[in-house]
Amino acid sequence: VLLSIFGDAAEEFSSDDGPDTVEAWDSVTHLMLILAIEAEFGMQFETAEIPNLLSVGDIRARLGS
Amino acid sequence: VDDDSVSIQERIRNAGPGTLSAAQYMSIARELSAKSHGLRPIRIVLLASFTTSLFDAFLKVEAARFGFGLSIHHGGFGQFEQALLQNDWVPADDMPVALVIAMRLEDIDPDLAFRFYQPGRLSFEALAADGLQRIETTVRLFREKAQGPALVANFSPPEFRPLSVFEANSPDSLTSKILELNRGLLERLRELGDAFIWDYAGLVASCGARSWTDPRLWSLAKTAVAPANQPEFAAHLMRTLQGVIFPAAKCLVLDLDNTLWGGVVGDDGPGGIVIGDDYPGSAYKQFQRAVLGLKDRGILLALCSKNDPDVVEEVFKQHPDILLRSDDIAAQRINWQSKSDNLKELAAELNIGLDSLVFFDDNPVERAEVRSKLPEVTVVEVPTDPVFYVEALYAVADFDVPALTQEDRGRAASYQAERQRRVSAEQAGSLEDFLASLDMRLEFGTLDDTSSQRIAQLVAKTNQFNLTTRRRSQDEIEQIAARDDAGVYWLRLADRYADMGLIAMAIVIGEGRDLVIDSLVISCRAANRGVEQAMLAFLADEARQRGFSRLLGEYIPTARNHVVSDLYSRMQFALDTESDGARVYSLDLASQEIRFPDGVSILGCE
Repeated sequence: VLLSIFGDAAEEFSSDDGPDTVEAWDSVTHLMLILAIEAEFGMQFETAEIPNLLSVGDIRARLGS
Repeated sequence: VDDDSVSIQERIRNAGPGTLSAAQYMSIARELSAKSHGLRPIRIVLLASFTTSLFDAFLKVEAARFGFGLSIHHGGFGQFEQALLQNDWVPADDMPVALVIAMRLEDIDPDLAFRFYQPGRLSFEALAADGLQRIETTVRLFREKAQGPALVANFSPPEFRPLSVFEANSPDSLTSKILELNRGLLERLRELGDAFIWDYAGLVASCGARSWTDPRLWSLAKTAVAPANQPEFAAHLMRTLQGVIFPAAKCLVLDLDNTLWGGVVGDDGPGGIVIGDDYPGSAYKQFQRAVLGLKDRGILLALCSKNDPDVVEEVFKQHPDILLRSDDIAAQRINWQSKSDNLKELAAELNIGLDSLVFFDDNPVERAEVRSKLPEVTVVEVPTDPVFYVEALYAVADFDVPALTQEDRGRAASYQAERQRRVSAEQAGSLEDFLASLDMRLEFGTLDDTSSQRIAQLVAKTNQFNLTTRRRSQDEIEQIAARDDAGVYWLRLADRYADMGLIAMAIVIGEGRDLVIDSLVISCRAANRGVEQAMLAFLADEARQRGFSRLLGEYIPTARNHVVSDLYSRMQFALDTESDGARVYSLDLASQEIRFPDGVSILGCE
């Protein structure tokens, strides 16, 4: 999902990467990413947590929980 | 799997709508952004009362399905007029551009649905009038800087309705007022010209109003369309855009066995085929109804089947449950030739291009044969279960037309008359005798409210009998018609067999002492009837009366208009200049005259 939105650069992402370190990760691509993940994993995030999943690690941890 | 040998457009088409995941949309959109892929560039200026930036990938991929290389200019949340005051949306290098407006009343007035009955609130009518005025102003601002169609979303009743389950019991409910407003919108757009309703309300209804909006997405991003509906949103908008821009297909070519009925008539006999009011025959009967519905609105029907023609004729004549009759069929090829050869013959017989054909055949082998030999033909991916045939037929975007004209509705009858004419022609002998026997009546006129739409349709759709193929919009044509030094003329044709309606048009523009024929277009149904000669005779008379000394004609070659390459020389025009195949001819009005064809009665405008 990361690759589909950020392209090949996403291969190099580490858990700490997020809007602060990836220029293309802005508020629009953040939502695109969250929605694409929901579709891919067949789940829904709660409204309040969506703006706070601000790194690859956060998202991974949330999906693992 | 990335396969370079298959075009990106084909990959999208093979996937079919509703089968791509969000991540796949994003990936394909990235690929589309990387290069042009031979797609036809177009820009949309997308102005909405909600945010639209999340839709990009869906819009670009769905645009590519129809061959568009889409670029999108977002007006920004809630911006309409303001977004057009800058120039950043105007495309460079003549890239075509279309305006899309999506205004939701509940975004303009958040109290609308919730406090509809609040005492003393601004009336719905006042809010609606303001909305329509803003839409009109926005379209006018767009037209000041660009030429192109406008698509305007109609108004959808809000998800939460003031009267809940009893909304429909009140004659002046919000819902009924919105329906009325949509009629007002249509009128306003007709007046503007080259402006069309994008049926957003229909889209919301068919996807389901209850889940149309995701409240999470609305709260976080002011996006009105739930994630699951965003592909549908994009597909619907792009299908609307292609219908406004591309000429519609003209003919549906149908297979017989297991397409129009179940079973194989050659094996099972005329009595053994499956069709009727109970399943499974009912699926085929329902499909025939849908097919006839297309005929009613001007699509020609043709048959193409590997079968014994006598057996097929017996079915069409005698089977009580077959709804299609011989009269409904414009042309047919019932033989053992390849389907691709038959399709070529059908196109030639009907005088239409291969790209005007849509092929519907249950047999995947036949579909593959046609796809590989005739890529211009639209081949429907027919589902294996016949109960889904109707759905597959309605999914064909090629038949979409923004507005039906009288000519569309009468077309099937007109082709039937053409078959009778052909019989007369065979009996008559010479072409002159035949034309004289038709009792043709021609009527000329200048562009007016009733003819404007049909004239624009002729200009948009005609490929063969089109001398310059300048695709001017309805708006542009109306502007030319209003000029003192120019004119837009039409010609209607009727004969013993049928009123064929408005079948030819010409745009002329004065240049000094010359009157230049900018566009000359004749519907192929009216070709070889002396219509071209009559039109030029009429234009020469007009030019003479308006004091011009020469009438100039241009021929600009395209892949499709070879048939008129020698029209001006046949009509005794002199060749003046030629470059890259484009030729300019002139007729000296003082010394030369073009006669109206013999045996034709002429009704002129003064």
